[in-house]
Amino acid sequence: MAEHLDDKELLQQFKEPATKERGFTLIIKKYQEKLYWHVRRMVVEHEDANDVLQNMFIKVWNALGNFREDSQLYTWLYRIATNESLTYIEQQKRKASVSLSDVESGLSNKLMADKHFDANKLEWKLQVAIQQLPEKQRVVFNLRYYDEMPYEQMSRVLETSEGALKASYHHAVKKIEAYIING
Amino acid sequence: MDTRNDILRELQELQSTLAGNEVVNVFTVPEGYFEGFAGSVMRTINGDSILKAIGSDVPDGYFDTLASNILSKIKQQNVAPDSDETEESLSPLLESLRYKNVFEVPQGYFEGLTGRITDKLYAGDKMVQLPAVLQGLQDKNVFEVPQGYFDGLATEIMSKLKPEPAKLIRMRSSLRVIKYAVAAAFVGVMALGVYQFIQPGLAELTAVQKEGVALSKDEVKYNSEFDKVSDEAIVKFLETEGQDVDAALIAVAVDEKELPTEDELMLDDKTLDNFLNDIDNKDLNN
Repeated sequence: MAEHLDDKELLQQFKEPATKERGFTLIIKKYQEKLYWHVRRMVVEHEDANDVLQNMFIKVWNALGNFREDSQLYTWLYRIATNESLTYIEQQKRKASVSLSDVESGLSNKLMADKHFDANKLEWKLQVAIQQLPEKQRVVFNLRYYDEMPYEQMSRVLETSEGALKASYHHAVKKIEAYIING
Repeated sequence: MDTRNDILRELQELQSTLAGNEVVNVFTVPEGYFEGFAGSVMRTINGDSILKAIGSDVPDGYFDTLASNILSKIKQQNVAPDSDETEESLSPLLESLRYKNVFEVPQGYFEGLTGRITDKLYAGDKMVQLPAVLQGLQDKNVFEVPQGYFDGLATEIMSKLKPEPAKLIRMRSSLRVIKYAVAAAFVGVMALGVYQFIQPGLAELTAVQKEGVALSKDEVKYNSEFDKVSDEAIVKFLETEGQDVDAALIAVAVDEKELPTEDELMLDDKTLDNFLNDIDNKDLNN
């Protein structure tokens, strides 16, 4: 239901004190699943994804009043969700005083600890391969492969040139392919 | 001049046929070429001012109609030599409508067109470019979420946005910690009392101040009297004295060395919660 509502209309509701909460609830409902899966693929575990997503929406609530409507709400939300996910991973790294590669292997371990994990299934191999990627390539791959985000939009989300994003995606695909075939 | 003679002499010494020929320039330049050359070079160098330089030599509005004039000349050249009719002469009405566009495109359509086309081309090729092993995996979701998670998510987030009710202070039978908080609050009253006590010239002590001073001299009596005071009265007293009950609790219960560092607080939002819980637990155990 909320998925079909126009962002402008939702933002208008948010601006009006009488409909502010209703407008924000509808924004959450419209984007919660897309953003959840984006975050979940980054942080792997549901509890972590839930924390990141809720914190992210709380920040959105505080910042939405300053949102410039010449940008797309969708792009803006993805940017905040991505930053929150990366910050969360960074915090995990600092808390545990480990290197980023350890965090990545930690994320892989979380995957492998899943009760449904099956090393023989391609879809699981793919997830493990994604966790081996450097942070930026992982984000780009997920946005392109799963969310099918055009490079133009991705460029606004990650504030990176389209050329650099295409190169990142290309490298990511090659690494994943090599991991799945040889790994 | 000497140089030319030298060259001629050299040619004669070489017995070249060139030595007897008059030097003639076989190349020509367009008439007046050199007269306008310096100006032409300067206009090229000046770049931006070239149009202005040219503009000063052309009739007003020349460039406004230049493109259409050239186009019409091109069209005329394309007309069959035996045809003496141009479109303009055939139908002046149609000719006048030629460049009036009745169609509209969305604003900014052409600005992002290249990128959109590239994206579509790439999107179309995506499955071809993707290694076979990655094709068709997009829709296979290996992750699970608790049942009904998304149904309640918005409500859960909204509940966190609303201000939380004031924290309730749960009093316990052991008031060791709160006792010191009250003692800290008493300090102000007592200090004033003691000061006045040793300054006979000042106003007389109130009954409460006298009681406080007397009590402070005997710790055993102080503890025994304090145990008789109800929890509610203690909290009320602290609040009446403008004391932050939570802060008073923490201030008296915590060794400064045990406090989380600034870095720890920055790194993890839960650090403070965990710290406070630890205090509660320690207090419960005491």
